[in-house]
Amino acid sequence: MATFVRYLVVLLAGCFSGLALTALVLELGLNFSTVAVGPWKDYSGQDIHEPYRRAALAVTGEIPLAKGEGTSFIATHDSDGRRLDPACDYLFTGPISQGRFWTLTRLSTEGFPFSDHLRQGFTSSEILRNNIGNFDIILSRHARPGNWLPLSDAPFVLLLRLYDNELYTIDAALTAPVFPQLIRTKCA
Amino acid sequence: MRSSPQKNDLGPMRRERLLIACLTFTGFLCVTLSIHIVSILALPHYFGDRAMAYWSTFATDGHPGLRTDPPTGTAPPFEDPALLQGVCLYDLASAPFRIHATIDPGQFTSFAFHRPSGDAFYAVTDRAAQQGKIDILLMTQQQFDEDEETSEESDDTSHTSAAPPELRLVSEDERGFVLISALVARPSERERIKTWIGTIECGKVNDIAHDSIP
Repeated sequence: MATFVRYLVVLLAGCFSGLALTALVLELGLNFSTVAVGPWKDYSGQDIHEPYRRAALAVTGEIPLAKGEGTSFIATHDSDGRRLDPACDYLFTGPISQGRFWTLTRLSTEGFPFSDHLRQGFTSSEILRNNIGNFDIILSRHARPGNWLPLSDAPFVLLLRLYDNELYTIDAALTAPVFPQLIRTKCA
Repeated sequence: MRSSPQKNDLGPMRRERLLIACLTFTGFLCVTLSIHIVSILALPHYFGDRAMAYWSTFATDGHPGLRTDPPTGTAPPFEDPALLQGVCLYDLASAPFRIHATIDPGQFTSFAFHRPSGDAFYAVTDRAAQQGKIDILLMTQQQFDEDEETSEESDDTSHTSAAPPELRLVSEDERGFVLISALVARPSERERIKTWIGTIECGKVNDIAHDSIP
């Protein structure tokens, strides 16, 4: 009887911890997608066969960009590996050459738009450029001249989408110099 | 004299307890990992139609149903608020499905064909337009084969229409949805793009003729 009870306890505890592990993995957004360039991690649907990604998509009902539409990347940390902090200012700088159009959007850490009335993001058509075509975007809680993406007090992540590009064909060749950097400039 | 064998017995008893503890822990780990792997693999089947259920609420007949904007907390996460999105549902049980759009030059638009699970099996952007139009015919394998036979039997002269050729796709599923996404590059363009999405036609092939739209 004692042996049976021990088996039962092990079975129930294993079931519980297995389900808890699944919930934890989904909560943390863990997946084994390997494409990352600097702070930008691939968040498109081109690695759809990775089981953790598939499970997360099924639970949220999220529709990632399809192959042929473009590629999306997400940044939760800056280029030096520090978690994005709304108390700090960031400089989004560098070339974005692969997309026909691109958008940069700030989202909550759960991936939803903020309900504040601040600008949510930029599209490539809205950017102010200098006389040689380059640009920077400043992310800050305080008003800044030029391309200013306002931050609120809430933690955030950045979603970078490159529409109509051929990135999926050259994943292996992605290098940091062809991708924008997120540089933390100062913190309050 | 008797205490010596008792002391010697403690060693095997401890080893036995240690062995039982190790086996119990190994069993616990095996069950944990098994349940974890099974649950991760089962989730897409259990929640498989969540994406289609969400988008179906916006669908309308004949034209893409626009999602009310902006995306709220009930919407799926990690979406681009700069996109205006419309949805067409397809049901190939009785007839193929056609989508027809006159492309707005310079306007990024994508047409992504999704299975009920949300997996995209084909996507095309406005750059694939021929003569400024996107014409896509979606059908099952059986409908495709029948269409091929009909085409071979018909007179070649009947295919000299000036209309651009349509793209024919074969779907593994009878049901699914097409997500039409248009980028609002500047906020002032939002209403114009909304109106333009309303001009896209989608529905059963008999309802939307390939050549009927100038």
